[in-house]
Amino acid sequence: MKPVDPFEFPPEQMAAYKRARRLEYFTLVYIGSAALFLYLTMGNSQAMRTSWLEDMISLVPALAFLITTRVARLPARSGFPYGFHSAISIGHLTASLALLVMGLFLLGEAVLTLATGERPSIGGFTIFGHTVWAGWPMLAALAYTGIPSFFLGRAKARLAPQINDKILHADADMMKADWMFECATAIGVVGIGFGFWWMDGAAAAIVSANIVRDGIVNLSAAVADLIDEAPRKTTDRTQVEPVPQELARYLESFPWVEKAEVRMRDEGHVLVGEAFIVPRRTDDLVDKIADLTEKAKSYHWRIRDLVVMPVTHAELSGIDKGMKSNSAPHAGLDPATFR
Amino acid sequence: MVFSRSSRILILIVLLSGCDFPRDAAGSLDRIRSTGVVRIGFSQREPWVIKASGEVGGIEPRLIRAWAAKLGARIEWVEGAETVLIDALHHRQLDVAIGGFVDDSPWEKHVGMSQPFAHAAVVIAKPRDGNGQSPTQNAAGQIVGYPGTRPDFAGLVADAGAIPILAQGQRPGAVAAYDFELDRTGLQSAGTILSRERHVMTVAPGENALLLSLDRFLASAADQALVGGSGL
Repeated sequence: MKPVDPFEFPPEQMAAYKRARRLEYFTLVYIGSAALFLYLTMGNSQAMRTSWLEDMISLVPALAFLITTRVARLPARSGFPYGFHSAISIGHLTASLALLVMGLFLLGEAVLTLATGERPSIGGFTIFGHTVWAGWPMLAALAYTGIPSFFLGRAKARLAPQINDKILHADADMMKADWMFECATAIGVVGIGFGFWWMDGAAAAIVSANIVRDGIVNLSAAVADLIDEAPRKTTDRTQVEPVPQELARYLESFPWVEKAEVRMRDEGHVLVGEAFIVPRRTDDLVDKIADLTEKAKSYHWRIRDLVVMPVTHAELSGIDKGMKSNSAPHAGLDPATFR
Repeated sequence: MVFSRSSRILILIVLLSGCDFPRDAAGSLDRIRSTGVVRIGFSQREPWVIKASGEVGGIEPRLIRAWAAKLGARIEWVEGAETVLIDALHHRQLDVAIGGFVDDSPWEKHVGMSQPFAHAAVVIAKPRDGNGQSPTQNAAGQIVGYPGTRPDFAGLVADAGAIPILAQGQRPGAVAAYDFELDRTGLQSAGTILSRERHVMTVAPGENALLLSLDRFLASAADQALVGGSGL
């Protein structure tokens, strides 16, 4: 059995990938320390407790990235002839679920707090013999956790399209959710200080509705990828990934190829699939196909594995027709419907 | 950029607030100052809150009296069971409720809670024998007396594997007691700590200025909170 070739990022993408790994390790350490800080200052404020739980959930995408990218780069072996790259899709599903669950949890919590009319109170906090309003250390803890999330999120959002990493993209959304929620909590804490007890719940509800939306967008993308949807852009699911189409045109640029169609699926970072070609002549066909396959694989770094299949005109039009009817606007899973 | 805009608003809010911050959602502290009346709910729990010949006393009422004096307010005492007090507090019909509350009680979602003003440990104690014998380490199987006013101690004794019995009068064996009571009652610790408690007071929810006022007072009085024990 011929396993798929081992996968390595090209140098430029490798640098981005290594940078992403460093960012994720930093995220783990930093969110871990932030969670500890919050735990020590949270007192009996429900908002602070929620913020702590939220921190714990926001570790999930970072963990999913670190684990699955390592698994994904394992070489294919006889038991796993397609390699392990699909692990990325599992990681993406996990990260998206974490984002959605967090959004739903925060939204539920906020709506419940508002509905029951529970009034949070923030009193004193004694530190080194001085009693200050406990809101101040809370705001300090929120700034400590919120501000780096802002910069981490932006760095991850920049790296994600470079290596077409969807987990990193979901994690960037998670970081955004993180700092936006810290902001909402800070507004809530100050609001409580002014006696506006409802402000805490109201700010949290608005932000968590936003997180739920991001969770749905990411989750539907992860599910669509697992059903092998035609590849779409990592950062914008409304755009089709152009590589398969470009590859088909590239194959047609060979004089002995009359017509070519390519179908591919996204395995996270990489694309895997089949090319169907109608040859003009069939002499030396096996050698020509071997040569074409090699050239096609080096056409773009994202093309991990490609099977080139010679077909007749009649067969190709059948494939073509199938592709056409499937490429109609997505009714069910198009994330654009959630925007 | 949303972030810098909201942080700018935050800073502005804080600067505008001046010294009238934090505030109460329902203005309790202002009301106490203007009417000169603070409404305190209590439920008896020795030695924190006790009532003898119609007079409320114990560790917590002593603290509350000193705090009320600082506010220049007269105390309106209301007695009720813990659940009833919490309900009244939740509807802001009381300002503060006391009764030996600890910080991990289930009420914290419904009412405000002060910072812990006293750390107390429940220990197994023995009459002091003078010859400085090493205390018994293992509580399992021991018979340990508990006062009739503190049924919660019986549970702690049983959890430690010892056998709780109701202590009537002075008896020579081991008893469960708070660590801060030992000196005064001629007991010494037998080396087993049954439980550690962080004692708090409960405050009407959303009343931040009132809570901060109480917290500030309790922090300043914490050293003396347990001195003098349960006397009236």
